[in-house]
Amino acid sequence: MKKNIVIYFISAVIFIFTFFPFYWIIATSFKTPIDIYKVPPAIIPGSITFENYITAFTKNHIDVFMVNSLIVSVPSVFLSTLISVFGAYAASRLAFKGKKVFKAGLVSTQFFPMIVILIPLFMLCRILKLYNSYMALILPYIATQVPISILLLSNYFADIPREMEEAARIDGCSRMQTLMKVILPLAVPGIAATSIYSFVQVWQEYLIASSFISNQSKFTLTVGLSTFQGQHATDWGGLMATAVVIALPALFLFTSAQQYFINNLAGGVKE
Amino acid sequence: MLKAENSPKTAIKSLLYKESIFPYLLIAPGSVALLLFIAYPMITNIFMSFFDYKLVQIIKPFVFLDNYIQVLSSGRIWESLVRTITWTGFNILFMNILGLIVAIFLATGFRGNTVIKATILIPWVLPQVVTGYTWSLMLSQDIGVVNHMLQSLGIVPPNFSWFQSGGLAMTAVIIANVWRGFPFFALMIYAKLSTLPRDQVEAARIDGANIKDVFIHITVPYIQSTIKTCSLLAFIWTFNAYDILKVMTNGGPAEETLTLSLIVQREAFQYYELSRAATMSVVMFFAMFAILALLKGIMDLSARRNDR
Repeated sequence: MKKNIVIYFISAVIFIFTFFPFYWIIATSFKTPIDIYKVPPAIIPGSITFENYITAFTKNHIDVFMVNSLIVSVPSVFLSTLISVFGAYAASRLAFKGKKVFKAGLVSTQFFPMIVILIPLFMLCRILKLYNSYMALILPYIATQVPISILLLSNYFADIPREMEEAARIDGCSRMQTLMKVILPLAVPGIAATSIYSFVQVWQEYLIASSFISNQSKFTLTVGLSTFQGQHATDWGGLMATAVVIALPALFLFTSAQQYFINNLAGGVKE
Repeated sequence: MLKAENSPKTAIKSLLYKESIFPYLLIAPGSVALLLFIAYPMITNIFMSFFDYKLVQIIKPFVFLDNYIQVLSSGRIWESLVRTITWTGFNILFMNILGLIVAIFLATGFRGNTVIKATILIPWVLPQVVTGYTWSLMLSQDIGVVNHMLQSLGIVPPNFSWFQSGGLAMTAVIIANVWRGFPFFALMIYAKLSTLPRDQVEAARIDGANIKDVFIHITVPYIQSTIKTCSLLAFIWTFNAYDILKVMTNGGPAEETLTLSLIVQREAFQYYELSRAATMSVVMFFAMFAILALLKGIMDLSARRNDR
């Protein structure tokens, strides 16, 4: 009995520590300014308002940031996954000279700090006249997502039985046909999970997005949060409403595909 | 005539799908992306550190080690390095402790642990920037709910502020980052714990080992590899962390939470000292690998000593 109480107490503490911040984001986003700035803070909002969401969209124009985030994320994820599907198939199924170097190169990128390539990328952007354009984000995003996507996808491809491939080859399919008609359909869940992982990464990227874009009309959502911070005061209600808008798709997508990549993620880097 | 029409096509076809070239065609797009946007910038970065690059001037003179002498002789980078190590060390320590406690707790299989297992990773997925703003709000001096709770429990004095001294500001960001990172540790360690061979534990218990002995001599060695992998990953993430520090303290107060990532970004994009920033990032890069090599050396040494 005593043991049970201890267990329930610990689980309650873990639960509160883990989830209170989420409650606070959501609660603050629905609070009136009076409740937000009340001392002591109101744990349960006195009244619920949608005003913060309305100002976020009408005054801070987070709809523009949202569209920008989508314009940047969708092509980045699509192209990096497409490139990675081919790379991963070669890396997991085909024998070729330099395969070890290729794989080692992929793994080593996971150890490189983004900051080490940030400045040359910035110079490259200026030379190619990409500064303040969506391409300034899309190209680096593709390059950073390709290695991890190939590593994740290789694991899925490795699970597809070789017999399927051999049967297709014997039936007269070319290598390309085998890949497109046999392997890819079987790997759809893995491809979906990988693109979800990439999307979550790109959607929340901040370092490149805040360094390569200075024009507010091109801000992505994460950078756009700073528009709620004024010189003297922060509009916490609007900021937290925007936080909900940023976090919801990421959380929803991630939890829907969670079991696919937790182990692969650690495994891919460990090898 | 017919032959002439067909032959180029078949030639291309056989070239495309020949065993030897096919894999290279598949990895080509990925390799190009990596070479152009990762390898080339990496090399350019080192190259830039030997020159005096300024955005406004056209001539970029070769200065060899001048940038390094300048950067390494100022105290700023060393202070920043120490801060980065402190930041990384405490993060990994507390992520491990908290992760281990939660993992062991989950492994007891109490009722409701499936709910925690399914949802615990959520903090890890919350965008770092959002995590930073949320903890800034919760820890703020006047309206911060956590700050207020700590005050009413008497843990911190009235009018307590987390963001007025360097040490406390660092602690605040560490709390936020540990909150974000420990679920990953908890889940990975739990996954390993759940495969712990039961018979080994039972045999030890029959031989008279108590829970503490079992934990130290069976459980810890068994989960050691997982802890090492998680710590390595967390080391890379934390050492290079930018978003959460930028949002919560922006390096302040008085540059006392300015880690290496922040200092490089600031030099480059606020002061436009591109060569100095590039030099600092090279230093950061080598510092990271030097620390990793040192840690690996220590671990190998202690492993050898244990074997003896």
